[in-house]
Amino acid sequence: MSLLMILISAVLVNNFVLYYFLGICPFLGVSNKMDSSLGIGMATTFVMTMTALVTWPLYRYIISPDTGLNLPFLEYVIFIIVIASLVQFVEMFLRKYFHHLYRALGIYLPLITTNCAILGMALFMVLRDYNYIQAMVFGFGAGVGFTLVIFIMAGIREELRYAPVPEVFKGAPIALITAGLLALAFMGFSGMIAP
Amino acid sequence: MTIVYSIAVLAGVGIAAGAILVAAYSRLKVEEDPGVERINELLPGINCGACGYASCHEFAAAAAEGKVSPGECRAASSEIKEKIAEISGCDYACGQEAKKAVIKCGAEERKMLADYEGPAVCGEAALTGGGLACRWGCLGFGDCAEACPYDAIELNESSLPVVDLEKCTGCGLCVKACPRNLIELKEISDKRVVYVGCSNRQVGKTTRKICSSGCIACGICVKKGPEGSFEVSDNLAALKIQKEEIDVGKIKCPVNCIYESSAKPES
Repeated sequence: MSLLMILISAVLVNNFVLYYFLGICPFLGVSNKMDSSLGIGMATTFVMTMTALVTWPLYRYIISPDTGLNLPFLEYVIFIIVIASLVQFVEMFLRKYFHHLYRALGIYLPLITTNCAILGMALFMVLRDYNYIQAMVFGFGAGVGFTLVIFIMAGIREELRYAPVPEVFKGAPIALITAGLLALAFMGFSGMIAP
Repeated sequence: MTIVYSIAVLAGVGIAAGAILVAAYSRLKVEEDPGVERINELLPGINCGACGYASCHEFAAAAAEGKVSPGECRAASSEIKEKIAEISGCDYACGQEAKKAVIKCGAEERKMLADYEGPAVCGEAALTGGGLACRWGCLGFGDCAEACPYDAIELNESSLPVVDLEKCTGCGLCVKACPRNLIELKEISDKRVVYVGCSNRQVGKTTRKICSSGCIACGICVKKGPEGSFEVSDNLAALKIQKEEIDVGKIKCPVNCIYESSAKPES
């Protein structure tokens, strides 16, 4: 599969949030404001790309069944360790250089660790047997896809505040309905590229 | 052997990640005012947002710099606020004057148009006017006293709420509770609060017919009070700036609707 196909597949066709339903927590939690959603999107993109870059050699040369060690069952633990350390790093970096963003993201920044889209990305990468460059593009594309969707969602939710939403639907219900409609829209891409 | 290998690999990855983080931390660590952490520990840590800051930590940062008064925290007890004031090196009122609730209706005798027999809560009575002749008058069922978490408001014998300034923390819950918007938070100055105890916006003649202590907008307080302290608009006098030299006795309000309450019990 060409690199461009992998990128488009990860961003649009097989979007992590709206196709696989991964990473719903930050998708709903941080999509209130457009600027903070963009912030979390970029932080997630960075963590995803770095995760792909770090976990691929770890898997390929240490724990994959092809190596002498043969420890594929360790992939979850190792991936989580890598993701957690990367998130710690991002947190320190943002706190030092982008304090405003650090405060805006608040609790959702450490929660990138538990963003299943990232672990899912690492596992898919292994499952689909990507090479190093492909893995990097896949990780980046997954992050861009996440950013795109959360940014669209934040834009809609900012407008929703002024919409005449029925009293019972205010808050979480209308957000979930919006997410569903957004997923329906993205279903239009489905089938264009096999996952 | 698999067990040994897995332990070795996990430990190796863990230690490597740890080492990288330690190295990164020494370059990226952020120096923070130690006072901020100490204030943050004292704060309730519930991030209620009542102070206007997003979290207790941000409030602590602002308090350490003296930008905000410790009294602005609605959740902390007064002892904790005093401790915070010690750390930040300024008293309660630093940055901002402490505020207290005042009741802007002083009608001891209320003229009634009808008997009200509905539920004895202001919120219900306000729907029909509670039978009061004055559309701005206190309904007197004590929703504010009910709302006060500090028992600072009590109804007197003519069912008018009275605020105990010692107990009042200026949290503003009573302001929200009053359906007639009669309660306002006013800055305290020299341990006392001066305020106009009336909200009636009808012309003086009409006001006088229905209430003996309603503001008739004569403007005497504007003339006799310190310059710029009082203002009359919309047929109602209002205190603009709390000044120490305001002497309520000297103003000689013809309907006695300018009140002064002090934080200390009257002596």
